[in-house]
Order: sequence, then C-alpha cells, then structure tokens
Amino acid sequence: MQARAFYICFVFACMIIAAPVFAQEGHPLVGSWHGNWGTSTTDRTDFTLIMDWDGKAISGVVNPGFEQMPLQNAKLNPKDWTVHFEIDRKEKSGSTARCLIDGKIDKLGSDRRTLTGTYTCGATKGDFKLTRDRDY
Amino acid sequence: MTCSRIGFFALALIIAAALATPLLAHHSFAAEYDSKQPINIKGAVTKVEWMNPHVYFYIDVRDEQTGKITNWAFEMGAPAVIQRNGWTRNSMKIGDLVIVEGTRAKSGAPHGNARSVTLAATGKKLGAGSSEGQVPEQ
Repeated sequence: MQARAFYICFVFACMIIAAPVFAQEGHPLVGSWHGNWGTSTTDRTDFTLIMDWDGKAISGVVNPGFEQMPLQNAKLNPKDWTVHFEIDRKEKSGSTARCLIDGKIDKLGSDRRTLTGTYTCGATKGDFKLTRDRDY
Repeated sequence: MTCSRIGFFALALIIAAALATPLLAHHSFAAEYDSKQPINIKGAVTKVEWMNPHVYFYIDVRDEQTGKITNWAFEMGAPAVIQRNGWTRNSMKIGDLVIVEGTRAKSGAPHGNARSVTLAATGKKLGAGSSEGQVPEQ
C-alpha cells in the first residue's frame, strides 16, 4: 500500500517538474527583436522588428508606432534557419524604396537568439543585427 | 525513519518547491520600484503579455535628438484587476502610441510599474492596477 502511494506521489512530482517543458516557445521568429541596421559600423540606426506566425504565414512590422513598415513576402527556411522579408521604406527624399532583407537565426535554442544579415534598399546596401527580447 | 518515509519527505519537498516557484514572480511594490522616481513616458507598444500575476507591456521610447530607441518594460496589475479598470486584451495593440505614468525600478533598468496608461490616439486614460495605487478611468 505504501509503495503504491509512493508511486502515485512520484508520478505527481514528475508531472509538476515536467510542466515547464510544455511552456517552450513556438515559432522561432515570433516575438519582438531589437537591434540596429546601417551601411557601416558608424552609420547605424536603431531597428525594431515584431514578428508573428498564424500557422500559415509570417506577419509583422518594422519600427511599430514610428515609421511603421509592414513585412511583405516573409519566409523562413527551416533547413538553414534563413529568413527573407521585404518592406517599403520611406526615404528622407520622400520617395519609397523597396528593401530586401535576408538574415539567419543564430543561437536558436536561446530566448535571446539573434537574427543577422544584410539588406538592399534600392541602391543602398547594409547589414543588420537583431536580438530577440527576453520575456520579462 | 524508514526508507519510505524519507522518500515521502523528499517528494513533499520537491512538490512544495515546484509549486512555490511561480510565487517568486509576485512581489511587493517597494521591493522593486522606487516611489521617488516617478516617470511619464511616451512610446509605441511592442509587446503585451496578458498573464498572471501581472500583465506586462513593452514600449519603444525614441530619443528625438539621437533617434536611439530604448525598449521599456512596464508591469501592471493582474488581468482580473485591470479588467475592472476597463482593460481588455485588445486595449493596446502593437504599434499603438501610449503615455505611461508610473514609477521606475530601483535597478535603474528601463523597467517600471505603470500607474496609468493613456492611449495617445484617443486620449483614453486607464488605471493600470498598480500596487502603489490606482487611477480611475477618465
């Protein structure tokens, strides 16, 4: 009888301890990312990227609330964790430039994973580095 | 003490420790925030975490002179508490500009306890269920 009670308690304890495992994060792109982009090490501009996944498509926005730019044609290749998306960026001249952005996720298992890569906005080329925000 | 009693005792400790872990997320206002550091800050919502024991939201605050963006985290009351102040899950959306009144964390990090949140687009002000004191809806 005691052995049976012990067994029940043991299973209960295992279930409680294992519960946080189910809290693991879903799609690796989902979340808010902060970093910067620019054409050189001295020409950098802060950059915020919010991404979501509805089970079919990646959606999101760059610099929400400010010069908010919705993501277009966002794709993730899970074979090498490369990411592609496009935005229409308003230039200082008033014109709009289509930006093609390609990056790669690193530190995939970390909640502070990074997304680094390059971009082309019209004739301008540069690079970016973003780090996913940790949940508080 | 028999082996099985030691086993039960060990199991009880493990279960108690596991169950108590979430309580660490709940804390007193004075332990984390400095009431002598009031803040009034405007930014764009980047994330909302609607969860117990506290709802958290995050805003990008841009320095108008340098363009530098700082992401601030703000704590509100529990979902049930702020719902009584008129909040719903959709009150704040990504990209919404908000004005937050509250208290800064003692650590000096970009983190605070929100007392009220004003939606810049509508001017609607909602109490944030701060453990320091609440602001009625206007």
